[in-house]
Amino acid sequence: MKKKRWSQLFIKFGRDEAIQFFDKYHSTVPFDIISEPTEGLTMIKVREHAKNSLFYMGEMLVTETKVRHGETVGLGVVKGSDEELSMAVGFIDLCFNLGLLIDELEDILDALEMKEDIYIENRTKEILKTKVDFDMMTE
Amino acid sequence: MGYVAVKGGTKAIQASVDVYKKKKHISGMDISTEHVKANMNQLIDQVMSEASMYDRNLASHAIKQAEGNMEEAVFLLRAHRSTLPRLYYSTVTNTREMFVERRVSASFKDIPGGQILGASPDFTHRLLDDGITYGSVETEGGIPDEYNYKLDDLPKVIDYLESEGLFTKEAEDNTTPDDITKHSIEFPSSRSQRLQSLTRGQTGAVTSLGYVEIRGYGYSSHPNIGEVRVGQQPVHIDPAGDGDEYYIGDVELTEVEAFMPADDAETSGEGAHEKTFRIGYGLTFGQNETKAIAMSVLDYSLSNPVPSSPTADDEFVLLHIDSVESTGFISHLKLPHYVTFQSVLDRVRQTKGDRD
Repeated sequence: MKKKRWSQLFIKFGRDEAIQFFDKYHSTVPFDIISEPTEGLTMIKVREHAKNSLFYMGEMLVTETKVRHGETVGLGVVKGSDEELSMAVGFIDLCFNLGLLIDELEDILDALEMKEDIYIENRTKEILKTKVDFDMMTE
Repeated sequence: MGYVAVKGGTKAIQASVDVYKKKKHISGMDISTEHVKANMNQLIDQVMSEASMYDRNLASHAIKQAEGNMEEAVFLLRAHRSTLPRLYYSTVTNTREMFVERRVSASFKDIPGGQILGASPDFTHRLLDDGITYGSVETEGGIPDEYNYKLDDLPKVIDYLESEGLFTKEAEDNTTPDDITKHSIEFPSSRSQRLQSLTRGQTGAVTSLGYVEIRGYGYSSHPNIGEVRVGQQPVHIDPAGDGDEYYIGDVELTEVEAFMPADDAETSGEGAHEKTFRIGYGLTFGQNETKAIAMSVLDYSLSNPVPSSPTADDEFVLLHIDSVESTGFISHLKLPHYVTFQSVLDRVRQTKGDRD
């Protein structure tokens, strides 16, 4: 699974699951902490649609953690101030990069995909209740 | 009277700070940052937008500490931002991937995906309500069968204009943007400087100048809002630069595309200008619809300047809309200016003496 996908599932829908995974397995994969969870900023670069050019719209607070096993590095960058999640995501990234605990991670991600589906369906229903039906207005 | 350097006031200043803190809590009641975060979404959105920093917890903290004073809260958040390292630049964020929670068009009734009102105070009575209650929206029932769109992939209204040949999309410009937080704006300003400056501008200032532009001191025409959309925008980083991105979180954005009729540069054989549409663009953190609309008006006026119009003058607009700069300068006027005023006083006395 691509980094973009698994990181979205854990950060957006699986904070608890990510931290539980870290708590359960961090002693089984020895690693060094390159940098402890640290707050910093990410500048957001946007493409605008009038001239199709790029500009910087502002920064978001992030928490970053870097861990290492041998030469392999794991990176955890998450929105806001969240040391626990940042550390857990860094550890999960390390596991993916090492090819360790993949079956365990995929089981969790399968469950998170279902959680995502339910969230999107419910949120979409809620939002579409506010969709204007112009046909109704003429009745 | 000669110039005499003085110092002092330390004890008085400390006492003033003490009295200020006491006054803040004189009622004995307090609200938590969590209360601010839970109940003051629109204020948080404005503070994050003007501070140019997205974090609801820190914005709530700033609002509480500033006693709800916008300019002070923005100042606090900007100051805090200056203590943090910039770790990453996001990959190119494309608002076509926004999970849309509200989307309306004032130009077309029927738009692909429909008019979605979402959460908005637009349809509420502006009467003080002492019986405010909060509740959840029922989600019973399914998504309509005929609804064939995903909210994170809704077509844009400008796509419709383009398909009609009424708007020509420009080729992608991948020039690295200027960053006004690293280098001061130079004039004439670049497009990336203008957009960055406008999106972090003070809400009232941006709105007022947008209004000025429409009322008769610039383009002087009623823009048509092609689309206002509010939603959750995913942000990604690619530290290795190999295209394998990480998702790091969503930010709430408001985006506006305003249509402005204009003469095309191309002319027909008879010398008449063909009409086309150009776009004014607005994008802000949070749900800041008025500011985003005004930003789109000012983006247009600065990109298509009307001669002698104040709102087409990038120096006039961009150097006066920043909250920290404008409120900082105005409020500094109450600080001691004994020496400069003494100089003015001496000159006035001199001219009076000369006349006498």
